[in-house]
Amino acid sequence: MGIRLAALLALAVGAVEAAPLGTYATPGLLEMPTAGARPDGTLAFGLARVGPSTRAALSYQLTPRLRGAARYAIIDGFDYDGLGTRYDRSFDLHLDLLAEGPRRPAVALGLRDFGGTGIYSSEYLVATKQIGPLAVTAGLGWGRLAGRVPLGALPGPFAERPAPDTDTGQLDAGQWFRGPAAPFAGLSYQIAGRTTLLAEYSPDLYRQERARGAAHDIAAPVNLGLRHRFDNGLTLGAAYLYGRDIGLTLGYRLDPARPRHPGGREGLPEPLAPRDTVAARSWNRPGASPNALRETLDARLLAEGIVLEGLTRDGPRAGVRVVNEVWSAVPQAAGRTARVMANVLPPEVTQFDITFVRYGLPITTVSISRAALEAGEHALEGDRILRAATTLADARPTRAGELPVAYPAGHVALAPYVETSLFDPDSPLRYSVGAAATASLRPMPGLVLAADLRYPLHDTIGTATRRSDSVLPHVRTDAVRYAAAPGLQLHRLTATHLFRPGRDLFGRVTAGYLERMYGGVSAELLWHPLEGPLALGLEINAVRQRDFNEMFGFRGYDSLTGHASAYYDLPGPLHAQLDVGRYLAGDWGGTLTVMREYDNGVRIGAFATLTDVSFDEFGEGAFDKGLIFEVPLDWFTRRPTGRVHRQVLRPVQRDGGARLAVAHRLYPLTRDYRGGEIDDRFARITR
Amino acid sequence: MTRDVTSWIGRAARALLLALLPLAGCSTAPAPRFAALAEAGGPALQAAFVDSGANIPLLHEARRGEVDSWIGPGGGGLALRYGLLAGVRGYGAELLAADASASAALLAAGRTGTAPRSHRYLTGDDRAVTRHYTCDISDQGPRTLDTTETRLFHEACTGETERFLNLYWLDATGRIVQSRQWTGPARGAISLRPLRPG
Repeated sequence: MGIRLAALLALAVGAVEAAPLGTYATPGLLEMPTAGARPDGTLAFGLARVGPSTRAALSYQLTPRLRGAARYAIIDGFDYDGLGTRYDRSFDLHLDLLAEGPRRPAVALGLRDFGGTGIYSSEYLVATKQIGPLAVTAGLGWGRLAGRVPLGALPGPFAERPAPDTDTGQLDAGQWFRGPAAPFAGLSYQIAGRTTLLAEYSPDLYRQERARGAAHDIAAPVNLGLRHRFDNGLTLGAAYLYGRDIGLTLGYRLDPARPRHPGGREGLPEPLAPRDTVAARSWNRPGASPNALRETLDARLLAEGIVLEGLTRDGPRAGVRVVNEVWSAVPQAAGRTARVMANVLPPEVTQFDITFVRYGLPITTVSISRAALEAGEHALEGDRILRAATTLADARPTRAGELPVAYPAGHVALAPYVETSLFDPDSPLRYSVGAAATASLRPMPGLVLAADLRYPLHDTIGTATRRSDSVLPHVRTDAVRYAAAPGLQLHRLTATHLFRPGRDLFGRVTAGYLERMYGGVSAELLWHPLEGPLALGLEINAVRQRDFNEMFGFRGYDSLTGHASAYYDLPGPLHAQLDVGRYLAGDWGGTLTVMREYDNGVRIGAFATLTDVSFDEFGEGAFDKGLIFEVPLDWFTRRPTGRVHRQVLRPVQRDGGARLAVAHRLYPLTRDYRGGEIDDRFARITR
Repeated sequence: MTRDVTSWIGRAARALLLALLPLAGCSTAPAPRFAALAEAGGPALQAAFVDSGANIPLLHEARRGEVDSWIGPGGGGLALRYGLLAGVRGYGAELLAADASASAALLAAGRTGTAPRSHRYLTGDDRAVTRHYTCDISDQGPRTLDTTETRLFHEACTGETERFLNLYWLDATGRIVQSRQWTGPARGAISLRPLRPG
């Protein structure tokens, strides 16, 4: 009930206050942090320019009190005596200890750049109090923030601040809150509605930047700024910093739980016709050809984005096997399919069994009665009526009543592609654009032959001059050499067999050129019960590394790699995945992935892999980790597309903890149809 | 063999259609179901979202029981129960369903009084929530709409987090000929007036 009330309040209040982003591209005044949490789940993107430094950051309110941020900074003149540019990654954590009360300020603790190369390494304890339109902030800073008039240090082990460990990826916990601390303070004053004036005292002296030749100039410890917030979540700011530099900030915030069009913009599902109207349809009259009914059903389902593969009839029950091509909420696909069935099939059919199929692999059968459909169509709590009357069952493979056009089926597509490579030490954004051709053939249910060819037209990934310095087998770090393959590149050429070995069990065998860098055989077994939070999987791959020319040849490196995986839908919005096994370089270890999942399909998470490769052997970054973002395209458009944009952001890709990237992995295939996912989005059944 | 080839072509054509389906809403071509109704020429309503000023012609698609379904050129539409809004689809409005039977009964009898009303909304997180309102129905006196003599009724509703005002113009038989009704916080009120009688 609490969640519902909160959702409703959110619904009523509309836009809440923006997350004001400072010049570190994370929430704050200008250079200084402030206390106070953003609304839970707020995702903010910031871009800031301060003198010769550009900072871009993504910050995310992980829990009501904890916020994380990942920053990428470009500092002109930091390297090679002022001639070279430094590209630097850093990560922040901000913990709100006390929420603001009528008399007490909000109090927070934070770490800036706690695991990076240490340029921005600092810690703070800060308090902020709102008094009408004025917000007063005061705090203590350590590390970089203790540049000017330090007060002294905490006693005992906190007295000395050790030198930073320069390897990115390792926590510098030994430095935190050590050494001298200096005070900072600031004010923000909201003038006309959406505009805020900012003033702060910053003890930061930009010692490192100035010592290395970057053109940061510090004439005064005072920064002044102006920030304006727009309706659409965008904030723009300008500042005059340290008596010398002009600063600019751009911020954008959004709450994944609140898309722009909450109700969706997709069309009205077919309204249910009265039963006598359905009975009188031409295809239901005596003597009509059974083909006429099937063709009508096929055409009307297709208009709803549902592809019909088979139709069976057993007395009062009718069964369809369908592919859901566009609806990210499975109940919505089920509801629309059932309505079309109710409007096409004669009234004697009272029960609709809808089996969802992917690549010919039957996953789940959703059964809805005609009576419940009618009762729920316009009832106030129609979704509840329908949920109570809907049963789910594990689907069994069958080819009964298969449409002649269903198999064999083929698909060819030619489209442009854009591939990006982020965070290269010499150039933060490298990319490749060109033409991609994909072809697939499905000769029978469960068998997929697929090819993926690319022809790069302009490529800056393959032109990178850095070569791998990895001491491990180069299982991933030769990516540049693959990207440099001239002409046509064969990314994938596979035969995949998907099957149901038993109840709640799913199987896959894939052979061929599995991905850009590896060919071989991959086999997977997944146990994914219809109900319950847990699923278990096992995958084994025997692969050989492919030639750099991206054609049919191989190099000399073989790997036997595979994992046992546990997938668990945690209480609340969290989902965890643990993979334990042998990685491509022969290293043994595990990967933990934690995702925060919104019922509307947005998923945000992080993963980390630890293996028996030591941090030194691994090289830069110490171990493999990254962030994952998945956003269904209909979140933006609210028009159904069935497509999900998935972005994995790794600070650096090395050879330790590297996994094979085989297509058609089973869990993502079955996920939306199993284990309570249908329940989570059931409210959409009448949309 | 020929059969296989034709079936592949059929499949490719389907795939192409599916790929284009999401774009259909953006183009100016009306949704196929709307186009078919437009050709048949049935009853029509003129709907407009009051806040954004967006005008939507609606065509009568189906009637089952006491509920009429109306569809717009973009494929979105709404349901009316005795002329009172029973749900909106496709315009970014959250109203899944509504129970305004008490208000409908008072209006049909041309009476004033207090009536409970419930709305079910879809949140941005795909949850359904029910909100309850208490509505005060008052008679605002006679109004002439073009040539039709009507009485204007106000339905002032108050809930825990929102309040809204619905307007109904009733003809001599007690039928709602024109109205302005609330669809939820996202899109606000929608006005409905007859464009073409059935």
